[in-house]
Amino acid sequence: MTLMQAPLNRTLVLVGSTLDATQARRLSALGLRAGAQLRLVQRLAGGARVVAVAGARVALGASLLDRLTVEAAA
Amino acid sequence: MATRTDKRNVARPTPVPAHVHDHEHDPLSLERECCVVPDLPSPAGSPLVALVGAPNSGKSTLFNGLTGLKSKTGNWPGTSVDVARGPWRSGGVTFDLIDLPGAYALDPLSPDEALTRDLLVTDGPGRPDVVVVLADAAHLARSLYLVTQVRELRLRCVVALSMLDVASVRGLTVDPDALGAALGCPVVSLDPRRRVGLGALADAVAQSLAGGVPAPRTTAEPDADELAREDERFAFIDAAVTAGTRDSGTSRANWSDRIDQVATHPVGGPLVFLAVMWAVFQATTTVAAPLQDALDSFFSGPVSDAAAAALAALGLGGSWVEGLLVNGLIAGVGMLLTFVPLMAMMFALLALLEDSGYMARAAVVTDRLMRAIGLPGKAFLPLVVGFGCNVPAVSATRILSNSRQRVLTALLVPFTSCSARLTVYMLVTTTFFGANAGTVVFALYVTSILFVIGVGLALRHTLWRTMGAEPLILDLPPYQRPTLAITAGVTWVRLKGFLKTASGIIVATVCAVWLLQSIPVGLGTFGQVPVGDSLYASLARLVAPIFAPAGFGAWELVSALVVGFVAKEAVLSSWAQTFAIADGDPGHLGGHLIDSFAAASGGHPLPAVAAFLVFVLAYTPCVATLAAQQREIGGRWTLFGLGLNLSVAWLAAVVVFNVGCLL
Repeated sequence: MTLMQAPLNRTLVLVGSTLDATQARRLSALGLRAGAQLRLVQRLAGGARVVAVAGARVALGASLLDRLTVEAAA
Repeated sequence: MATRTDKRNVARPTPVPAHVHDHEHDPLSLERECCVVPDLPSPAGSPLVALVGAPNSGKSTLFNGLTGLKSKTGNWPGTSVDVARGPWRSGGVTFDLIDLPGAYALDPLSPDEALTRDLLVTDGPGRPDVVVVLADAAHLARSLYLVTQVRELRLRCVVALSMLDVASVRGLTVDPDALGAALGCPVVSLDPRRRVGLGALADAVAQSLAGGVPAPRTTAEPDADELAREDERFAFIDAAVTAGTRDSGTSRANWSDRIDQVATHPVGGPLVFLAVMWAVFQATTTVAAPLQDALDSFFSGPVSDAAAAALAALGLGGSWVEGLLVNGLIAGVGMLLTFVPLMAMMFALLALLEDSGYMARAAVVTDRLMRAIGLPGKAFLPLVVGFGCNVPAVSATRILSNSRQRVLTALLVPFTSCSARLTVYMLVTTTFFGANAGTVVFALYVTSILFVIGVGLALRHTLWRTMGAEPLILDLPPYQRPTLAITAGVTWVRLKGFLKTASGIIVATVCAVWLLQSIPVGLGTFGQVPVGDSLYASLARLVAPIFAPAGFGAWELVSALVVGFVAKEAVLSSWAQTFAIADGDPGHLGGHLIDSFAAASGGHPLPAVAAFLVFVLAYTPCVATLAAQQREIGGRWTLFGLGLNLSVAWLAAVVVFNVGCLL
């Protein structure tokens, strides 16, 4: 499922993305890279979400969430 | 001094994307000049120490703690877009410390990040002897990405580890020695906000300098592609985090998340934002009003009387000297000084909001709004800075990676109502709206936001219609309890800037206005002419008819707007001069304004006052903002912005007056 479709407050694992290299690098620097565990903690206006990753909180827009693939953590 | 790195063993940071440097005026060259001219010079030969770290990691707070200087700080990403520099003295040694703009990595996406990369990677006089990387213990893994990249360069590196208290609340314990061994460089724990551990950092830097430049961290596959290098870096970081930290698994509930449930809620968030802003302006006007009245009475009473008496004793009573000193400098500068309590209160409240971490949430709340005009939510941050002062706000547009977005934001900044305009609002609204002054001022700030949106939408659908959208990516720092020292420091820096304007631009404009008011047109002698017969009034009368459709086409009112082009603080001083000279009475400026607006508007003073305030809100803020725009977006766009501000301001004022007259 995409991160946009993922439920709130579940531990997820980022498994892939269709982002361009620049955006992927920016997310990597914020801890959002393949294999990272994350959690959606808050819905924002316009479909955006706050993502909890590595102890930090990052607000991500809807267009970005649609291009990140996650699965439920084991 | 460090030498060029060995290319065979070192993974190079990726090239700077073209859009980061596609600026008409490359900001990097300007910032390099800033590095050459420090804020405070260090002794010649002092080792150059660069301070780097992620945005909002507390670099500026650490810089201020180490140097005793007052660089701008705030708990939100993008606070530092300029380079600060100053001497760092510790234990008889002086280091030349530079605070570089925040960067998550040495792969820049915006001009401020490019500057940081440029100064670390490129050989030259600005290359540091030691790099201090400020890392956040609460977000250790991602803080170490920059450390790994710095360790790949032939540079001495010291890691300053902050936020240990926040990490501890999350059940995380960091062992600096074990972490340092894994990273291959010293790690020092400290607390920049409380100035703890600064001596240990100086010792670590001195020890690092005493030794040679260590060999750069070598990657397993020097010729690997960027993806493989990143994987290797993340593996290195994971190993370092595992070696240097212990997670007790006793993380307490995150109260930042609980606040955010409300503060960033799709419906509640905007309401909280408006309530916070309203509370700031209401508290400012309510608390500061009695102090302002007391200062007004002091300057227009005892100070003016004492000066007049002293001049009379010297035989200069009624002379041009009395005109310049009492009706000019004391009336003009005194009027401005009455606003010091008000400005101090507003600066303190905004500093509290910035230090608390709320401003990043404000950017999230307004993201959807900003997106409507083609800008990312991050563009709201320079616009928020604009509510304090437009000049740094124009510079703060550098946090945006796209040059077209930077130009658009820099053109919108003058529509954000800076604190200098607040002085005009306060005088006019307390005169005409009494107890409702706070609400009217709040309405003006809402109008300011509407101007940003309206003009932004207009530009988005015309000149900027081909600009692509950029998705929201914004780091939300944890909320923190503001500290008195940081709030007081930020307040003082801004208040000092306000007072500097008073002592510089205001005195100069007061003298220029006095000179123009002393030159007779027709009969009369220099310094002995009624202000209505002066060159000042004659020039203002040429401009005044332009504002007749807006209901304030009187030369006494319009002349202040012309002077206010230099700086908005000068509006008050020029009025104080004009009316004091006209009636020989330095006080009761409000009464003169009521009479002037009533006469100019044909009996509709309130619509005329509203139109006047809207014009003050929307026209060119000051020449310093124009200079900042010229530097950031070039002369052509600055001229475009000048015309845009004047046209929008005039049109809006005419509409407000005419609609107001119909009500």
